[in-house]
Parts: sequence; structure tokens; C-alpha cells
Amino acid sequence: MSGMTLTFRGDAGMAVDMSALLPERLAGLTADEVAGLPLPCGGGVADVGGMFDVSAGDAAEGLLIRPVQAVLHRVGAGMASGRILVEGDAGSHAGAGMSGGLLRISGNAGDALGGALPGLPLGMRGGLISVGGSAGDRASERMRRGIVVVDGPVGAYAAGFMVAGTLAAGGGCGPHPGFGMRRGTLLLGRAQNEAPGGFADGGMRDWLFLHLLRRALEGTGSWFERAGTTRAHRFIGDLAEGGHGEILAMA
Amino acid sequence: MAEMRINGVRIEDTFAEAFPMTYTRLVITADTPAWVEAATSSLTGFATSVIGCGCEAAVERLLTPEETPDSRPGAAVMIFGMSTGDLAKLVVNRVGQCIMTSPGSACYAGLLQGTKRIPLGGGLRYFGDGHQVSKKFGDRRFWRLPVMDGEFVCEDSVAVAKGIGGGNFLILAASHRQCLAAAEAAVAAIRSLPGVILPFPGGVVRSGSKVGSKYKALIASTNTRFCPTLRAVEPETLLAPNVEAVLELVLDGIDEAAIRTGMRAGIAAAAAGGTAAGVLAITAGNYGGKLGPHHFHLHEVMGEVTE
Repeated sequence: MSGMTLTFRGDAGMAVDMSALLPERLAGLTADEVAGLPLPCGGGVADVGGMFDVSAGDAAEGLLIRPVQAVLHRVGAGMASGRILVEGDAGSHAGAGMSGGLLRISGNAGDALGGALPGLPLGMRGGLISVGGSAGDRASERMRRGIVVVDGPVGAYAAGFMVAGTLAAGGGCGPHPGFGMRRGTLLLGRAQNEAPGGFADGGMRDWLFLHLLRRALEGTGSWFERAGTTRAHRFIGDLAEGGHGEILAMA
Repeated sequence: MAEMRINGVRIEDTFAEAFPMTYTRLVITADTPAWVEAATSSLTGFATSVIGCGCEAAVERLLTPEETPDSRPGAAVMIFGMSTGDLAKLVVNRVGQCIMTSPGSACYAGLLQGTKRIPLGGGLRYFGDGHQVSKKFGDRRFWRLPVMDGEFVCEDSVAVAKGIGGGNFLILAASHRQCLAAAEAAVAAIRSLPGVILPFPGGVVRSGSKVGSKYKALIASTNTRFCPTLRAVEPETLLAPNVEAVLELVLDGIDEAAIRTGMRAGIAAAAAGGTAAGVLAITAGNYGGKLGPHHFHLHEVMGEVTE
């Protein structure tokens, strides 16, 4: 990946709010200019250059983040365009409120992946998030549009209150999937033996539109791109919210 | 200009006169090539001429599973109309009645950039009676409509663009059988090309028309100058005594280059057997150049393949 690289070199376990470091905001800035930007961390604020080694390059070409042992929250939150690649794990709210672009996390993601930032009514509104590991609770909460694909499992309340969009979790999900879901798709790579609470059993069949999802994920290397089938068990719900959403559990 | 011959076949010094049209392209898929054919033959049925059918349509080419959005066999279909408004009504009606009804079919936009967009699934979604589902992947929105064999997947809308309709040439031959053989060769050559379709049955027209009629109610009537059975009584006949049959190929294309390439390939194929195959001459239809802005002069079109 060409572009700018940020490599964390601070103390292990340091929590940093990364929402200010978006490709569209950093585009055209030099490494020194980026290093001088203030960033919320721990209980205060520090310059980017005080915590990260900043390589030369234009973030418009892509932003590579190496967290090392830091806990980087809100990576790509609010991103509208461009590409972010996280080599390692991301903290909570990665891609929250994102409206476009590509966020790729090679490790695990924390809670509220592609969800809503605190105080905001909607989660992710567009773009693509790809996670190579697992994700925490409330993935794609209040999501409106876009695709989130997680190779491993996601936690509880996956696609909770989802308005539309697609969350594809290759390793299945924790309890209460699709809670309050209005529309949208929660695709699971694991069989689901019984209908989750609030969902009706819609039966097993091949789903043509999943071919379109697979084409949309081409190049991500995600689990669904590699899945050889589009056959899935459909559960319709959340019936308390009109029943226009769905959980598809692959056979 | 000097006389032009290809394998002895005389190429008349005249031109085809063509008109601006609006077109779109759909990608139709189904479980098997046979069901693709069933869906597209229905979609492109009764679509030979805008005059009587409202639109002109045909399969542009067949698509492999690797070329289609859902990895199934498919076909690209081009539909030409006189305006975006006409096309909008005709396309959504045809897709609704001919593709949505065809088992296992799906319909996608085959033209993503153009002057405007017209509805596909966006107009048909209400058939889902509230159970329709929208999915947006990237910049493309699709509708999933519950139907009796599962779901009908249809792209929300498709672009339209400016094209050209009415490119043509006529094959004059010594017998009907030979004329048909030459026409079939021309059709095969043109159908292998992108961006151009032949909307008439089998790609061939046998009832070419002229403007006007002795009957006031008709705006067009049979092209008497090219009817071999009227040669003795039609003072303006354009047929030599040895011409027994005439067939016409009408081409609609995305631009002048597509029409020109198609005409050239078709004429070359029709004349490939030469006069020995009974093909005597190739000519073209026009209205004196006063109606259509696109003129395809046969000698220019065939400039590089003469003897």
C-alpha cells in the first residue's frame, strides 16, 4: 500500500482516538504537518508525532496504521473516502458513522464496529469494512448502508437496530443477533439451528443476490469471497420492527 | 467516383441514411443458456421497428458466467427508442412482463454511464407488495422481489445514451436462395461485433418500405423500386433484369463507428462468395439525405476492402 504510514511507538496499552486521522483530511499534508496535529489520547491531547512515526507520503493514496500495542479507537470513524489499512487490532467504534471508502483491519476489531458514535442516531452509511479477525459486541449497530465483513465471529447484538446494509460474519455471532433490526442483512458463516428471538424461520434456499455481494467483496480476500455456496437458511425479523430484515445462516 | 466491386459484386455509389435514437443495454441472466434465450427472445419480441413496435431490440451478444454480475449465463440486450421518455415506459414494461416472469431470471444494467437513467427494479419493486428488499453494493442498487420460484433480482435503474438507428444495406441476388444465404452470412458477421444489433427477424428485412402510399392512411408502403415482381410496371425500378430477390439488413448501433464497422463486416460477408454465389450488387436505402443526419456512403465504408 503506497501512501502515508503511521507506526505507534508510545507506551503499550495507550488509548488513542483516531477519528481525526482520515485520508480525506490528511490528503496533501506533509509528514511534518501530520506529525504536528493534535490527537486525543489517554486523558489528554498529544501531537501525532509524539506517538507515531509518520512516513513520507500522501494519505490520499492510502493510510497504513500500525498500532503495535496501542489501543486505537475510532479508526476510520466518519470516513467518507479513501483507504485505511490497520496492520493489527483496532479498538472500539472502528468505521463508526463511516459514509464511504475502505477500512481494512487485519487483526481484531473492538465493539461497535461500523456502528454509531455516541449520541448519533445512525451507524455506518456507506463504504466497506473488512476485518481479518473477530469483532466485538454491537457490530453494525444502527447501520444504514454499506458492507461490513468479518472473517471471524462477532459478539452480541450484531446488526442491532440495523436500518439497512450488510454485515457478514464468517465465524457466526454472539447472543441476540438482529435485535431491533428493521431492514438489512446479517449473513453468518455458521449454521443457526433455531430462529433467534424476534425472527421467523424463512427456510433454506440459494440466494442469487449473494453472488452480487461476492462480486462487491472481490479483492478483499474475505471469508465470503472464498465461500463456495450461496445457500443459506433465512430468518425474517425483527418482527417487532416490521420484519423486513433478515439473518442468513450459511448451510 | 469509380465503380467499386468486391469479388465481382457491384457496390452502388449511394449511402444509407440513419437517425439519432436513444438506447440502453440490459444484462439478462438465468440458470441455463436455454432460459437466457427464453427470456431474451420474449424481451426482444415484437421490437423490429419503432414505427410499429415503439422500440427496436435484439441480443447484442451472449455472456459467459464470468462476465455477468451473478456468475450465471447471460446475454446483453440493446433496446433503441426515439426518446428517453419512450424508452423508460417500454423498458420497464418489457422487463416486468418478459424478464420478471421468466423462471430464474435476473436483470442488470448493462449501461452504467449515459445521459440519463431510467427505472428498472425501481419501477417494478411495488410488485413485491411491501416485501421487496433493496440492496446497495458499491454504487449499484438492486431490488429483490419475492416471486414464486424465489426472488427476482433486478437492478434499480439503467443509463440511456444517444445512439443511431437505421444503418442499412440491401443485397441484390440472382435467386431467393442465394440472397438468403448471403444475408445469413452478413448477419453472422455483424452479430459477432459489439455495439450493434439487427432488430429484424433473423437480422433480415424482406419488406423494405418507402415513405408514403397511394392510400392516405398509410405513412409508408412497400418499396416498389426494389420489388422484383414489379420491375415491369414500376418506372423507377432499381433492379436489373437478372435480380430475383432483395433482402435488407438494418443496423442500430451505439455510434457511427459501430454502424460503419457493422455495415462493412456485413457487406464483406455478403459479397464473400462473389457473383459466383449469385450476389449481384449491394446498395443502401436513403431518403435523399434530407431526413437523417447520419450518412454512410457505401464506397467510403468499403474503401479498404475493394478488389
